[in-house]
Amino acid sequence: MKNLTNLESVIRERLGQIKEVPPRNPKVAARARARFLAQAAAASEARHQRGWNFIFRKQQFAMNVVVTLLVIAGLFVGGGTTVKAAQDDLPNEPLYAIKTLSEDVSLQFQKDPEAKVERLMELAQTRVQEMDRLIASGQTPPDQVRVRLEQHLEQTLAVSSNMDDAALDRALPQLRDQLQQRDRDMQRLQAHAAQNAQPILNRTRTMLQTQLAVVGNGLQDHEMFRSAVRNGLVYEQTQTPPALGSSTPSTPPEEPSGQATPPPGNPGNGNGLGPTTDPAEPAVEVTATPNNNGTGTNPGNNSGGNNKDKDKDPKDKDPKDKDPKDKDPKK
Amino acid sequence: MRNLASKEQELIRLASQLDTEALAEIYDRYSPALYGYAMRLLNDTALAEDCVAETFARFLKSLQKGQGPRDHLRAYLYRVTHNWIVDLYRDSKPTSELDETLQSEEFTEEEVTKRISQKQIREAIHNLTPNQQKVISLKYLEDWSNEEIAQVLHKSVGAVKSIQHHALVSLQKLLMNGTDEELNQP
Repeated sequence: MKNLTNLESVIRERLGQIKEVPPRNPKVAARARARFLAQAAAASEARHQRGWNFIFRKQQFAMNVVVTLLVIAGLFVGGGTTVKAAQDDLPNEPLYAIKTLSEDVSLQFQKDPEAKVERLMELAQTRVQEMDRLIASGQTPPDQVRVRLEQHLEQTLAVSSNMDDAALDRALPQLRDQLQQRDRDMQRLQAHAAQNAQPILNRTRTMLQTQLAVVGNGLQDHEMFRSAVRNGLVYEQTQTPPALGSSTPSTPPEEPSGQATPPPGNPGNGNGLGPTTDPAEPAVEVTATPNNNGTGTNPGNNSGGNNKDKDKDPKDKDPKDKDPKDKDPKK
Repeated sequence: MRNLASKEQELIRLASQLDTEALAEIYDRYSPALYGYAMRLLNDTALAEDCVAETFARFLKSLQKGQGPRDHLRAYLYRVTHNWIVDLYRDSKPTSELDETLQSEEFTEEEVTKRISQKQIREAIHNLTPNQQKVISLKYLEDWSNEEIAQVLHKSVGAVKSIQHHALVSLQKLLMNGTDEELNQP
């Protein structure tokens, strides 16, 4: 027993040698976070879409007729009125969920990329108007509105990045104008918003300015735009954007846990584009490609034949755990 | 403690619905620790980043399939992370950790000795069985309790203690191949 305790303390001491690890590169961490959130958003949207597909494609013709008639009847009786009434609701009001649901439905049925971009920009404008109304009534816009605005704009960029060159030539100038307009809206709101609303407005402006930089680069080089959107945007707040007519700078918002803040002396390029425009850390980005697209150094990217365990739930029995020494002594 | 558990249950429930805010919160809550865990075992920033990314990608994939954890989210994520590292070593054992760095830069004798020792420790851990690796890593590198480790292994606390005992003996033997005389001391 004494020997075992001694052995444990010796092993513990030896293992202590590898306990300390260098701090994680915050920019790389932020990019990884952005990639995961993009994957999560895509998964969420895919499930949503599958739900609608189930309703509208998998049902038999007769069921379609019944559902359609019910929907039409519902619209005449009061459903349409409800949806219409919901359009004026704010996040803290009862019909807001119906409003966002109807927006999502309208997007699902929008198949033309250019029309979809247009619709998304309308929705972005709606979110800004909601912020405006909330601030005007003395309330702080909930983060839910900013997140949804971010989703609209990121989806806009994603849809645009899949356009051909001719369509992108038409879309990018419009995107730039729209983003500039939203940024001016935010700047205007900052000027008269209460102090507790400033952080969310700052974060929104940081996002808008990052996206503007990406779109601006895209006007010069479509491939750079596509690559930047594909890699995921990181919204790093290096300084508080100034408000119109505001003489004192606002307090920068607290970064969420895991969100990057550039290290001192390495302010980055300010557009959040990452390694393609940041020569400060080429090695990290070249080797670290956790994008799960089957092209990186990632041995678990689900693309190789050896990765037979990759997709299974870890609750599944691990085939390697067959060491007889690992058996439960009670059994 | 109960609040933490109920908060985690709520996060799991929302994540199973692919709620993006919940998924972001889970990422923010656990990814730094998972990165540290991967770094301790791999000592390679790029691989550790890959490991964290793949852990969350697998988590997301499980959720999409309607699977994923029903409870003990942290234990689940560490299990996925550790399985990834085990697979990595099984498929292509990283050998560059020491040689490349020592060749590319100049180190003091003390630094070289330290790195050699660290490499020996990591290799010794990777030569244990997967369950032994988990117990040793979680107990001595992450300071988890036996109860918490039992959740990762889906085993009883008694089984964890047994695995720990065998793992310590195995580690002693593996490290004895190096320069350790201290392990022989009574």
